[in-house]
Amino acid sequence: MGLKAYSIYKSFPSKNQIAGRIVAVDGVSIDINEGSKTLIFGPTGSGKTTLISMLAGIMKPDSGEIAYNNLILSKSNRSRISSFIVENFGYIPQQVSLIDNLNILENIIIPHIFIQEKIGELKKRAIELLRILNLDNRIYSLPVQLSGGEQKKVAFIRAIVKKPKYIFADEPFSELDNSTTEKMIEILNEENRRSVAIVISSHRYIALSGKVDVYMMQNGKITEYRENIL
Amino acid sequence: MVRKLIWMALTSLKRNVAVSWAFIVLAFALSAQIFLAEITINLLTFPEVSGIKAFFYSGIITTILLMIVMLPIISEFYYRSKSKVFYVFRIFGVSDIDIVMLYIFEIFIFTLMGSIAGVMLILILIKTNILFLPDFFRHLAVANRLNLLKISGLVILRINSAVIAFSGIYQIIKIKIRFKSISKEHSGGATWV
Repeated sequence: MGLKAYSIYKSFPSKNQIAGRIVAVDGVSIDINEGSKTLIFGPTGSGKTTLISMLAGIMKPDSGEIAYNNLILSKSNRSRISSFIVENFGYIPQQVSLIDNLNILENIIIPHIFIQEKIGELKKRAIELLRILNLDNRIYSLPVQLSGGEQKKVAFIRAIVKKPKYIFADEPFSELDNSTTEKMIEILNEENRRSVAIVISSHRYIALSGKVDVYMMQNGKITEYRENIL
Repeated sequence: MVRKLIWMALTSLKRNVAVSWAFIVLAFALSAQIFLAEITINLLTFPEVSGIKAFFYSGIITTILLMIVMLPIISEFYYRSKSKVFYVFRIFGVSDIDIVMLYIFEIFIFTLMGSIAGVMLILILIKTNILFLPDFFRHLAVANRLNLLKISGLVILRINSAVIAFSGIYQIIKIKIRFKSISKEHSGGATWV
């Protein structure tokens, strides 16, 4: 049971006509079981962001298939899979993208307006997570009043506050100090203990505890798979 | 769900002041004008003085022109002010239809506030005799409460419907155009973003 990608391929047009298309993901197959931890590790430009965007349902592959149990995500139209993604996936983008004229709490809550849960419950959980990450005194601040690292923390909370089944994180710990990184890893480990699947892409190795599936990526392909246990 | 949407609309009103208030003020101005025109047509007797009629009809034409000019401008500003919101909703899996319904609901709340305020202002001005109508506008005495309420309800409904229909279709078209241009950039396979 879980999310499976079979031979997915994605390319983009190159601005340089001679170069043709840029292949970002080239025939990648990956299994993400429920409750697992997955690290997609590779240098800048290896295709990690494109891969994780497709797994999170943000981008469709040009070919190949992404399926969650019997639901073929890659071939379904957006309306059909929308409610599934809204309820089950949480995404932390590399570019934070907070909404400038909303305060921190509103930035965390508003993307989840379509889920079943009540706003009051989301607010409570958001405030608790903000407290853990030392942002409880900035609840009503605007994004422009926060540092890059603080905005990253808010994007992190925004993704996990609705208790998704899958958390996709694209370079979640860049611009963060070691102590904040450790707190966020601990929060992710805690989510994982509740059977939430964690998928992280990073250009540096992340020390997640327990069993972690590590996929090394280079030039759009998976070059190595390892099972690490810490 | 409705409570969440109302909370979202009120948050937009607080945070997106310029565009939200633009809808409210436009609906206010249109409702007040149209309400005055409606009670004049339905409840009063026009004297046979062509200048008065010309003045009256030019008022209506001005109102319609105001709507034709201002509504696309405000709708465009609203669309642009929501561009980051749109992106964030997309990365959290929300479909285009749901995003548009959210926009339409917000516009409905703003327009309703404006149109109710516009109609109420005219009602208050008439009832307190502040809005002084010349003697030849007879039969104002028969403008009883029920008639006035019925006309005010119809005006609010018409203004809201017109603004929401136009603005809603505008947002749908703009989102589709945006989706198509992003798809062209990522051509080789449709993209959801």
